[in-house]
Amino acid sequence: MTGNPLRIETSGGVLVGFVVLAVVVFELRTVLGMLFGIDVSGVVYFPVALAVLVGLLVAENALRSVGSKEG
Amino acid sequence: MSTGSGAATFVDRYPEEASIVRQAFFVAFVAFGLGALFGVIQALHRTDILRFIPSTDYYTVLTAHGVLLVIVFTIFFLVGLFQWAITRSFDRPVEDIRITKAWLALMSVGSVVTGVTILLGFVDEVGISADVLFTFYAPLQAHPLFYAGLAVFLVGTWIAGADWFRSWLAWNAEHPDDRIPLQAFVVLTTMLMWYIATIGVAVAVLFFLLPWSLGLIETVNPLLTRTLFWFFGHPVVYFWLMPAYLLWYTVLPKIAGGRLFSDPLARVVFVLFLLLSTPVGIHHQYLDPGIAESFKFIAMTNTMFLLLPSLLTAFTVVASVEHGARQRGGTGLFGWLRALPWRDPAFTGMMLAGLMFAAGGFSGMINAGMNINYLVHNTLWVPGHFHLTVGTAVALTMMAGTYWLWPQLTNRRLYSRPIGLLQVVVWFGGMALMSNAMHVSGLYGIPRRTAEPQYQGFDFSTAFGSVAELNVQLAIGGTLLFVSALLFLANLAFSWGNPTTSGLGQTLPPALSGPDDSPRVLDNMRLWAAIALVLVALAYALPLGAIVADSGLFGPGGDAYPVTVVLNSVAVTAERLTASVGATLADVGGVLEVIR
Repeated sequence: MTGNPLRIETSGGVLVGFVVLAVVVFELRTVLGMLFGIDVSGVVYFPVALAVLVGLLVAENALRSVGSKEG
Repeated sequence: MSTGSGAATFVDRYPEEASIVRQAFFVAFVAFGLGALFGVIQALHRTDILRFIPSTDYYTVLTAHGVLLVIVFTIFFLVGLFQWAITRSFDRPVEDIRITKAWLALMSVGSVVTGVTILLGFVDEVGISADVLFTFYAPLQAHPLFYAGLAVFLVGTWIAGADWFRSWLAWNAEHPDDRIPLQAFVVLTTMLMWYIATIGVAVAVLFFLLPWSLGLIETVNPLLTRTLFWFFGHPVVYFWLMPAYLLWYTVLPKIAGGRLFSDPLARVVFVLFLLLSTPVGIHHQYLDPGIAESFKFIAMTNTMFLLLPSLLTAFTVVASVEHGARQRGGTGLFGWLRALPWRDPAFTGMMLAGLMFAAGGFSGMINAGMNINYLVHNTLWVPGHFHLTVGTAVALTMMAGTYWLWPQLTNRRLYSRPIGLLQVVVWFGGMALMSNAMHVSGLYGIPRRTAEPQYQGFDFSTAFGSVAELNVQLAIGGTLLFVSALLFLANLAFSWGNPTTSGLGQTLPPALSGPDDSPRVLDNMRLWAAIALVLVALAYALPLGAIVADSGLFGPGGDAYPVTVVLNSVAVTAERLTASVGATLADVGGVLEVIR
């Protein structure tokens, strides 16, 4: 927190960031396929990508909790 | 969500004008709901996931989806927003509310007539249809009511523009030394562009398509009507986009907590759109025979110039948002992004719409390139592109803008901010899935505008994954978009039940670099309109002249499809059949004579 009355830190930014990141990760498979000819099976790619994204989300949440306790 | 600055709202100050804006938005959102329904039906049908309609009705659904969304939804939202912007920025009521009500009524009547004519295509017994798609050029022929409704709608928009120019003249008489406020500047330049652009479609409808569908003329020149359509068909893209730009330039910086970075740069952008958006339409006709390659090359060059105002906008809007973030305490190279009001659906919706617009701009450059266009022409790539631009940059900004405008127009709070946030995020995710599937399918050669994209005994070759996988992705994306549309409409409907509250008014702060930092010539509407007309004449006089010289005003002949004016068409067909049989018999007779 900065003490600026305008600024309210909420999970809104995390949600938007998560969705944008998810779209970027989703598009990466298209880039691999269309530009580099690497056919990554969706059955493998999507569960792994989802697990990584959820892991990042959990880690971010944990870091924020620690930060707010310290703050 | 911003809770208001305590100032009087727009509806407090201008209740009659606020009522006009609400009515325009109401029509827009009814069309949006219907268009979204037809959208999900298409997405599920052509992917063969779930079929509610016979494939013979597909083009009725496709036409309704296109016309309701890109004509009715976008333009009714535009007139509502522009009425708000003109009244707010000139700070004066309309000159004559009866005129304002008249153009809204004309537009509504025209939309209902055109819409009902399209929907009657579902009822075979009536014998009326207009399955001509949004791109309604020949040889597809609609019932005359379709064109008549469009003409009435168009006249309504022209009167709306005249109404706003009248407000400007009245304001200017009282403020001769003042610069035109930015929001009004956007409205006036956009309407000048609209007047120029609609010359093409007005000529096509009034002189060719309507008389042709009434049976007053027997044939039309398909290439001429296509060219006249695209004379209008590309600038209309910017007509849809300008309300989004108005919100990005004037409302988004405020929601971000800052101010517009540069008013002069914004004026330059809108002047460039006025000058450059019309003389580019031939880039939609790269594969049309009958137009010289040199004219297509000129259109391509003009199109690439249009990247300039888009890139200027990207810079100005992001700079304004960054200024807002830093005002809110954001720091660092990218750390300021964390300080932005992401929980506000109005802000997040506009930002995600802008992000998608960047992607749509890149795919648009592929479309605009003459050589590479051949690869994607008439494939599913093209709907993938315009669902990013009009389907997200425009539509999502309009929805997000509504979340901000709603309290100003009704004195009621939004029903649910979290539902609003979920709605814009679901739209973004759904569109990412659907447009990705469309772009990739297009690169595989899968065609657009068909209920049955598969061919018997033929498989599209894929670089990765499979067509079946893309179909599922497209259907999921389309379904998410429909869910998002329902969330938006439900949120607004429930908002109407909220009690009225005072103090919800919002003011818009002045730009960091104001209008006085720019030369006054930027406000010279006559000059820019004259230059725009000259550019249009340079781009179109020779191609149109060549088309008429090659194949005549009414073309070399040919049958319309579908046949809607039954009696007239039967008579024409019978006459042609008789002539054809007569000619064949004469030939046979000649041959027999030779044999003898």
